[in-house]
Amino acid sequence: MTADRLSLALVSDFTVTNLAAAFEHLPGLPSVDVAVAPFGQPTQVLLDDESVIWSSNRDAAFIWVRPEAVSSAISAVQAGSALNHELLHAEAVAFANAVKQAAKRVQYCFVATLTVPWYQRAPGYAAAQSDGGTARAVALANEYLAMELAGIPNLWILDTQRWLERSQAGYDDQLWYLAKVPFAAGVFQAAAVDVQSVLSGLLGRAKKLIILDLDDTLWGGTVGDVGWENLQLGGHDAEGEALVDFQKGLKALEKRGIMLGIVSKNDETIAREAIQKHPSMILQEADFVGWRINWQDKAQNVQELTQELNIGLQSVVFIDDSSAERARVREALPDVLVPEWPENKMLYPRTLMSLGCFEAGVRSAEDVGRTRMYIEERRREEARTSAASMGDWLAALQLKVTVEPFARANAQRTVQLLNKTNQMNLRTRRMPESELALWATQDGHELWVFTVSDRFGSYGLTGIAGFAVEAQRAEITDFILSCRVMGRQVEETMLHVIVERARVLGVRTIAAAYQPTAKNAPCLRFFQQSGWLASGEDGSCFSWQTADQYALPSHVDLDLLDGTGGAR
Amino acid sequence: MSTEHEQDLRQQRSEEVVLRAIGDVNQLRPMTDAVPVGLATVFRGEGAALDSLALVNLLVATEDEYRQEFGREISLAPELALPAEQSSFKSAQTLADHLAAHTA
Repeated sequence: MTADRLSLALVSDFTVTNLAAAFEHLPGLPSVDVAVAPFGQPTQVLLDDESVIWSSNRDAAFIWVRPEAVSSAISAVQAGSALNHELLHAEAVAFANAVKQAAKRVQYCFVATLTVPWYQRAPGYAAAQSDGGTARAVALANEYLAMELAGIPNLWILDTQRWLERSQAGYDDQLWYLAKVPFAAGVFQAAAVDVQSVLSGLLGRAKKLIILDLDDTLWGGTVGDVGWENLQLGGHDAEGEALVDFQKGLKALEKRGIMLGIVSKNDETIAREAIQKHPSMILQEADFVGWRINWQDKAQNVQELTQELNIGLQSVVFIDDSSAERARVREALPDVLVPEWPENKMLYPRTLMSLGCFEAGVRSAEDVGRTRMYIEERRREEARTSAASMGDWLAALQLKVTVEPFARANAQRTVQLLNKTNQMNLRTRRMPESELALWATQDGHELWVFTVSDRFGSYGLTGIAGFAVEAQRAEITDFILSCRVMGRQVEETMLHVIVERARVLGVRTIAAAYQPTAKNAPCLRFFQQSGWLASGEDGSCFSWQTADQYALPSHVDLDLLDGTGGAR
Repeated sequence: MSTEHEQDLRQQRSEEVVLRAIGDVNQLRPMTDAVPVGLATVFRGEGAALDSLALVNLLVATEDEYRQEFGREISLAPELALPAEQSSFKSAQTLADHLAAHTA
């Protein structure tokens, strides 16, 4: 696997050649190489470690079956019999257990929910009844599956109904009877898009920031011309209602950790008054991590705002009703995603939700509180500009660093940080939770995580340090720090912790071999200035003799939780 | 009775239907195995470019494109069941001819 290309096993009871082709034709990253499991034997393939589909290392598996393939209880209901609840439950559990087996062989496992065509749910009056309806039976089977598969960190249940509705084509009888392909091409394309979207998020490619225009984007009308009282937003107006729903959609994304910003050509005072005073505004100023409301070039404003937030342009989506502004930002900032935007405001909510680029795969506490953290950062920046010196500023921050071992409770955020961090990253190791957990439990492997806070608030879990010990030598495998706390001597604090822990373990020499990528030069610069001895042809290998202590920065309050073995 | 001009137009539109359908089928095939988009493309028999699943995909795509172009239904499954030499699915040209004749 590379971050750009993954191998995916398709396991199904129907012909999936068209689905495989849909994956191949997907634009964007990651590319997905598909291998198709032997036809028509999904449960056997899932349970069989020796099946040819697992003989090569697969990064992911996508399991998509018809209900008939795993449940005779559902088949019986379709044939007119009453639902046998016990049998349905037992069959759902058996299928879930087979899925769990498959999930152990791959890093990412996806299962599609069970569906049946609408015409197999007849008669309509009985379809959802508890004593025998097909719709009810399928809903129960999906519920049992969800319960059985809950808590498996590398497994995601995907919504087949969403693909059927999105494609507007659904089931195709001719394809089924002639080739055992149940769905029209559009359903497979929608499914492939969803799987790629989740994989992209899991590999750290999910978008983090939506930058929005105001006039005719967040509300209808030009506020500078009509005043905030006359903006089209809410009320008894079709487009006004749609714009409220659009804002609700943005607010929901914000709650999931997607940040919102504003870039608008407007008078800032007038625009902010509209945000503060319009009674139908769903989004308030506190929902935005930053804004540039002025008459300057929007591309320049987008760039400045992302720099201020320390976010890469590849993590940004720009939404604007003006095709000219979209073209300008596309041309000047090609890394920014600038989706085509409909003229019809009633299509705004749907267009936002169909972008499919915010699927992080997992959602940590840091994600949820991301907007709050950036607002705290804005206050820090204001304090920094008013401080007399860097030292004064660092001292005034009252920085606290808490260190604890990698554990189940912090695994989700740790893996997210491991797979997303680019700049302060010594070797840029990428791996899923299961693989990292396995690595951490092996003899001689040390993996710690760092949580940082200061007087303005918490940055959350922002650092990872890992090393492998062999005899009296330790090799740093992971030295990772979120860009949110870079330059506050958390880096030096991490080195202090590593050295102290190594001393406890009897290590004499610690080595750090920098692995260059397109983005991690800041890590090299840090090590070059860290006081560690540089060696190697290009000076990118660093070492420290533990006979010497590595000083803890004086302004840092270090807190070591249980299990860190007195690395003080 | 249709004029010669109307026949030419039907033929031209039928050929476009088939070429678009081939394009649709190519979306369901590996990019390295794309079917040539042309009236000379052979679908069945000697030198055929399509396997059985691709033929079914072509059938469905052609019916869809035909419906969109002419606003009415056509059922091509019986043609697929015929031996290759007798079937309108022998080549892109024979399929287009069949559509044009059906539309007359």
